[in-house]
Amino acid sequence: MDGLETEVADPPGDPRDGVAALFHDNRLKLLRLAVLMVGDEATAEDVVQDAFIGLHRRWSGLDDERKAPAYARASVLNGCRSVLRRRSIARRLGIVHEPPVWSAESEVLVGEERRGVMEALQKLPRRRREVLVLRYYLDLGDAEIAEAMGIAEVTVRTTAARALTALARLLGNQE
Amino acid sequence: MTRTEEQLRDALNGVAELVHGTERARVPAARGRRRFSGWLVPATMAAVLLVVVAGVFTAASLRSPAAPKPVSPAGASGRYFVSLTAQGAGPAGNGAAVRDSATGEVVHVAPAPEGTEWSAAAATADGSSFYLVGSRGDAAGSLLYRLRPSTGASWRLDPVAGVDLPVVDGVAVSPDGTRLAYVKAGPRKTAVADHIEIHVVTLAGGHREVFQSSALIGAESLSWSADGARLGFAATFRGGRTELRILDAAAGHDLLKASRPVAERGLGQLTTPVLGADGSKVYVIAAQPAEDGGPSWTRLIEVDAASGRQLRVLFEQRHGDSSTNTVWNFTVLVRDASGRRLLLVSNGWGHRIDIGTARAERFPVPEGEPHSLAW
Repeated sequence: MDGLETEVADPPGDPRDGVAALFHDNRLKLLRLAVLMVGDEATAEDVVQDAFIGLHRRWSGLDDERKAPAYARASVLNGCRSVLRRRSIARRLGIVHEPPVWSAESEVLVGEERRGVMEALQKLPRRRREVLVLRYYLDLGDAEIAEAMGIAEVTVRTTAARALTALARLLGNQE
Repeated sequence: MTRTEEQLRDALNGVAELVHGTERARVPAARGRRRFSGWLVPATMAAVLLVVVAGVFTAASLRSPAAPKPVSPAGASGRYFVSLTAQGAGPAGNGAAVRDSATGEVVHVAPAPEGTEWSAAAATADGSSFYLVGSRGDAAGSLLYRLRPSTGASWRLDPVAGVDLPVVDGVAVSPDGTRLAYVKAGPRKTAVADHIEIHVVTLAGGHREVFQSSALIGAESLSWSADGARLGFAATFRGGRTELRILDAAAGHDLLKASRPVAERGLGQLTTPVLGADGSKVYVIAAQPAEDGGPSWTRLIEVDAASGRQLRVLFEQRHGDSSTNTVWNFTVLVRDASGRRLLLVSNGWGHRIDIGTARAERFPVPEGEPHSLAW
């Protein structure tokens, strides 16, 4: 499995070229990342679109355009956090949102074990969930995860260790 | 790779492959009209809710503090500790569990107030007050609460007004209970914080000292010495290098100049340093390789703050496998106010360790691994 791979063209770039290349190469991966975080494809599409719109606006201000994929990842994560926060508030007011794609209510067939893992994952605090998704879905290293989340590498390692312990416990694994 | 890691990787990829993303596979234009339909209603509700929450807390903070005089439990210092466990099992759930430090028994649970999640806890030296941070999300920041014994066996939770807190996952209260320290990351130009600040706020009055460095991108695991003069922490520099440091809280506001490194070498990957009571030792969790090349150890070690030398191993557990992803078996550590005992939680057990003798006693903590401990 690959992570986000684009090396963006050399500066000074027309933002339309740079963003288009980045979008072409990474959109699906980022969309899938967003689905894993927010649970449904329509919302994930919004998040990814907004991330690229933001990237387009800020393109000229990027110190190093090779950092654009990392910036896009961080933007998508931020967008997902905003969605989840809004949902949390809406839920308290009795408003329900679409069930996640892996839930039993969804029409998509995921499989019992995968569903169990995804439901256990959703029980973890946000930061732990993000670290696990970035590590085990995007295959990012600790330094890349730290950059995407804006936290220290050592925090990535402690968070991952705690998250795996908690997940194993939720899944009833003896490790 | 452990079974959990295999299951996780399989589930994430399995779900991800259901997404084909064919609907809007066009490059978005920078001036593209935003889609407000899905956002406006929750955003409006959020604003209304925030006004309501703010009103509630303003009212709470204006209430007369005519509360019953706190009654400290017998032998109060270190008798109780508080654990915060997200999605914890059992009666404590997501609440702050006050536990008897001798038995681990939960004696009280303080649920997080509406609209908040407990993110961090800290204790004062007299063992009668715990401070809890209730996070409301990145935009709204956090609220501070004080949890203390009330009449009889009951406890009371009060909002602490006048402390402006961001979202934090760790705080340290000075032993005399007058100052709160926390880490705040500066604005992000790209994905990495522009600088790091350690804030020390006087709880009565809100006076704030800020120690800042643009050489750092992270700081965590704050812990005070018993005299409240020094603050231990783990620093992360640009490029990823980490270092244990001790801050002299009276030595100016340049975080690097006011702090000195604990020049440890070859101790393994370290996390969660805790400053000893007199500031001469640091207790830290280390991932260390096995001499025979087999599975590694997670150790609680004592480090001399002056030389950085490892003095003793106080507690250790061996990994069940040779997975390279799981670095530490346990990652949460706290010292009691007396400076004589340490507490960690690993795999369903709390381990209370006498620093003098390195003797460990354990008690069950079935709710799950806490993300914050205060003792």
